[in-house]
Amino acid sequence: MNLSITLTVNGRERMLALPDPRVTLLDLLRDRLDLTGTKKGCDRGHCGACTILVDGRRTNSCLALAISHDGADILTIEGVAHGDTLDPVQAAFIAHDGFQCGYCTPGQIMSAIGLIREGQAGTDPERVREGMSGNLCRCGAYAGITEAVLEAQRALDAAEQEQAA
Amino acid sequence: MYDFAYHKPTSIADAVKILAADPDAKPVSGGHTLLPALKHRLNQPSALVDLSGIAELRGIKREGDTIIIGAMTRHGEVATSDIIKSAIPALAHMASTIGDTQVRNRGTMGGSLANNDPAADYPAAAMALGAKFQTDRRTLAAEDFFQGMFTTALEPDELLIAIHFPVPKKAGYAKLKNPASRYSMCGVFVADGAAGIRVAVNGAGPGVFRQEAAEAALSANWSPEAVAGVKQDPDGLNSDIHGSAEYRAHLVTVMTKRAVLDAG
Amino acid sequence: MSENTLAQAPVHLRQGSSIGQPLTRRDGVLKVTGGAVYAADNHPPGLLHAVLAVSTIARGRVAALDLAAARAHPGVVEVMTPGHKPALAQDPDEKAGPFAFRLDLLQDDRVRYANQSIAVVIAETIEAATEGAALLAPRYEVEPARMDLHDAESFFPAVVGAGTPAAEHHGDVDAGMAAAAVRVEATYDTSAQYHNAMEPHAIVAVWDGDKLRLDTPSQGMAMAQARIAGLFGIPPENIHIRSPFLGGGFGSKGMISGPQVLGIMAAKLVGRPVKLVLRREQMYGPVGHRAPTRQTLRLGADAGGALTAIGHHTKTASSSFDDFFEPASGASHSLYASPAIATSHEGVRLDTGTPLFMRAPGEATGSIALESAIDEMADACGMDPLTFRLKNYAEVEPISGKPFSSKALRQCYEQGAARFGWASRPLAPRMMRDAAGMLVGWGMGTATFPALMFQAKARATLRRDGTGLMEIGAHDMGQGAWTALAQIAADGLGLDIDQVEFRSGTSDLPDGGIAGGSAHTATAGMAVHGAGADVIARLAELATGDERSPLFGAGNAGVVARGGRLSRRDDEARGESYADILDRAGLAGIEGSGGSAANPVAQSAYAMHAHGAVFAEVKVDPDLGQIRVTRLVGAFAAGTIINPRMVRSQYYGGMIWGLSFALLEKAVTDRRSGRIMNADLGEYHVPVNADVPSVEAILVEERDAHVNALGIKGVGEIGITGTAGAIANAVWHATGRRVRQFPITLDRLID
Repeated sequence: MNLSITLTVNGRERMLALPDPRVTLLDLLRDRLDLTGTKKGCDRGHCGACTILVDGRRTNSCLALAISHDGADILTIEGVAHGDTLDPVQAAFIAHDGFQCGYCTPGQIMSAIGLIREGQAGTDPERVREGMSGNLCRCGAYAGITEAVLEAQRALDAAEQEQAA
Repeated sequence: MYDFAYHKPTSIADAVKILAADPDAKPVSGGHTLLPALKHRLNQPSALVDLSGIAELRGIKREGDTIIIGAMTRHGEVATSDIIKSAIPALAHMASTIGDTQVRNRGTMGGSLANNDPAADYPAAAMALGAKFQTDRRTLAAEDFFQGMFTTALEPDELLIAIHFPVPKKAGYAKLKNPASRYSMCGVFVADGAAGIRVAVNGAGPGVFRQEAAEAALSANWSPEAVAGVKQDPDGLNSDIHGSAEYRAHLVTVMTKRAVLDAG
Repeated sequence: MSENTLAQAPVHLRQGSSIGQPLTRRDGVLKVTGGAVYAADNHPPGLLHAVLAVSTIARGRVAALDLAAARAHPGVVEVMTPGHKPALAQDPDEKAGPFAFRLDLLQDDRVRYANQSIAVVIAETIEAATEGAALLAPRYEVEPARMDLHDAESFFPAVVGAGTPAAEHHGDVDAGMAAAAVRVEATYDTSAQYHNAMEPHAIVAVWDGDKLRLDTPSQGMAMAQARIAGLFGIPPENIHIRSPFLGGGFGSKGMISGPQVLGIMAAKLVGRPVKLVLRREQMYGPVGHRAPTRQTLRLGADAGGALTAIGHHTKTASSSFDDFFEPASGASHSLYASPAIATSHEGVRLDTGTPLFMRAPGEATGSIALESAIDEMADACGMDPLTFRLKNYAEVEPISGKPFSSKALRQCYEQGAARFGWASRPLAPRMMRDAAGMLVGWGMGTATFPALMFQAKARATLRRDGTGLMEIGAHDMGQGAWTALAQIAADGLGLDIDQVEFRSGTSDLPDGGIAGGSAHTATAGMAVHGAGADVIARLAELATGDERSPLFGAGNAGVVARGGRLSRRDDEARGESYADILDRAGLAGIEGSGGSAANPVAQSAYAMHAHGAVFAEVKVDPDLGQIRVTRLVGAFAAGTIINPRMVRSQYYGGMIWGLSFALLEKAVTDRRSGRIMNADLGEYHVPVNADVPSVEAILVEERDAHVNALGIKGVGEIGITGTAGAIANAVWHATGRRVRQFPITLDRLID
């Protein structure tokens, strides 16, 4: 059995030899690639704290076997900012106090980025709430999260219009 | 998790060959059911046969009056497919209510149907629409495919390839979700199609079942009012921390009414 | 200058520029980039992974473990069991103090509750340790579990909660009931709840001789140090805890838990660094919970709607081996005026883990029952619920007769009701429907939480370059300590916040007290404030005694500190910068310290509470019983607001917990096995974003001259109180059904 895979993680190609086929993407990122921004909240796909983008789609990394993702393109929270410049989603989370303890935040932000990329955010708070409901926040920062996603979408729309003009 | 070997075949034939050679091997698609089961050690496959590398298992197409959906098609793809939205909008709507986006991005139609969880959504659509199940060796009718809780007619080494949904005249779906997992506490899919007028219920019982009294009522008069008086017998329905059998029986009537409204 | 002199802080009380500002979180960038390091993110070299094996029974003995199978698994290094573990210096069952809860540290083969630790497997990888733990395949001698609050022998504990008397009264409740024209007697049930912080309890333990470094989330590092020091027989100062960020605590990380200590023991056993992280399901037992209650309320009122009696009795459960009784009846002490009030508690023992402080312990649980009963009484009197509450407004604390140190509850009622539109509420239930046919109901509840103060210390330094340093071992579990305490520090030091370095979150800093009881901002904040005052006083002393200084002869009290300068109070143009003073004195810096504690004189003279009013709208699907909270408006008065942005977030969080209490949370136990059937986040319901449509919090102005010199009360827990009751009352108003079992489930609203 060949247990080596190639992943592109935050734009960088990594060749990885897995010690075990049981290793999930989450444990791979946290324990072997030292990318600990992605969090383990339940390890069962219930809480969304481990959300990353796999080939652009939001994924619970706790339920994804690493071995199954040979060739995948992976974006984690560590790859979101552009150098020292925060992504509009990150900036909006700070501005709207869309977190308290911060533990679910990487997953929330990855989910928000996914939602926006899916074109599902829009301007309707109800849709944003539904679209962000795979990510639990026990502190109850939902109001700020929803406002942050709406504002990030507005910022991105405005930037797009500016570019088009 | 017990240790297991891992295979990622690229063709249906190879996958079937591996499954045939090792009776304890298990196919895996999205993994959202199997991985938690493995983590809880409820399952001890000798090997996982990862189906995500088989291109021919994916995709949605229309052939005449039939929509053919590859077994590895993800819920998110079903929910957003223009083909499905125009031909069977109730099916796209159903897919959009499964779990959350993270789940819909991984979970597959074939995985869900082959698992046949009583609280899963798709079995009701397959049953009500009279879907056909195409495997590597045969084609099964929905009535024959589903065999009760977590059981189907699939042999251990048999692979579900695609599901064929006849396009109905109209169809509708309504469910009450578990507030946390979004699993169906009771969902009803109604269809007026090739198989006649059918009403199939998920979530309420140990497996998908047809509500024949409601079918008769709708055959006589397709309207929400016609099914308002249908009484589901709670005997044999699920009873758990989220709702009693009596409550679920009540839901069958309410959801049937709402599914008819949804169908228009 | 003594350490406890906030009232006399000489120079700079009201020149604050940072306090009151809605700054964004100073730890925000770290938290949105994945850079904030939580305990389990640490990977010291040579790290091994430990995984708990936990019991699947609730009572009995472990008869056998397959140690050979676990040890034989590739990667497994050690298996720690009752027979093979490092010696402890103290019996984990010894009660060293009221907060030293008994721990399960493999002291014997007894099982006292489900999910109790019975062995620890230590391995090279998390996968191997997990598999090794599973291979232990325990066999048990099972004894019948006692799981039913209503089917166990009860007794009357002397104290409840953190040590308050279990029974209190004033006046004669029986006489008050006999004299009443209207009576309400009702019983309310609340369910067992689990904290479920997003971050599971975790520890990374590294021994170096008899020194110990720990990365572990803690709401009270000094208390944890003391407990660990006792257990391992080492001096507390040998233990260095790093807890810069907690992924939520809510009380469950207040005291060091058994599994955390087992991580330390595992590291000692193998002589290598060890990481131990609880799995989600393992958090349903050894790290505390909110116990179930049955509460009986007896209210009497005269014909005009004035209360004549409040009786509040709570039956609740502790574990079989330790004492923590949810102090639910205390909610009736302070809210409504009544000539007679009696509160009492009754306990049973169940085969569960020991219950613990969980966000608003007592107040949350008691408030939903009291606020429901008050609503029932208002209805029985034919009065609007707000009118009824105003009629029974407490001008002094009812149980004690003490005046309140401050109480802007009337303004909370007014502002909340106005914002919500309460005036147009029909009196009778089941009168409102929306366009989709949903039943609409409006309900309200009063919120309250005591304004507590614990003890803390802080150290302040002014440096020659004119910048400041504030150090305190405080705890940020999401409430915003990194930001709010830095704001207080900036004002205390008379500096712009960007000129202040704020160090926190480790145990080698001055003891910041505990983050609990909604008291951390007040407690740690007053220590920070005092340290600032102290260092400024020292600096002023230096300047005013130096004839080369323009401040010479001004005296401490004649000096103000602002913007990095000391100036004469009578002529602010005359002054000089901190840097100049230190430079001339030839000092690299100057240090001061501060401490805080409750003022016993003020405490005996005044009742100290924060207050609020919460208004809720619910929509109920008449066919399904499905409830959706469509609007929540809370108005809260909690003294001085350090940072309105973060305070608002605390109120939101509390209100969402109130929603969760009323409608969602319930741990369900299998009566036979004693196991919790929904020990995961798929089946134990906590709110998701879609459950929380519209929530508003109004920050009502309130000044308090007695709670502490800055007038700070707590904001972290009050939001739950009032909200849970408001939602329950709105459900009644929508449907006409009074559900007295919480959470309110769908099937209770269907015939």
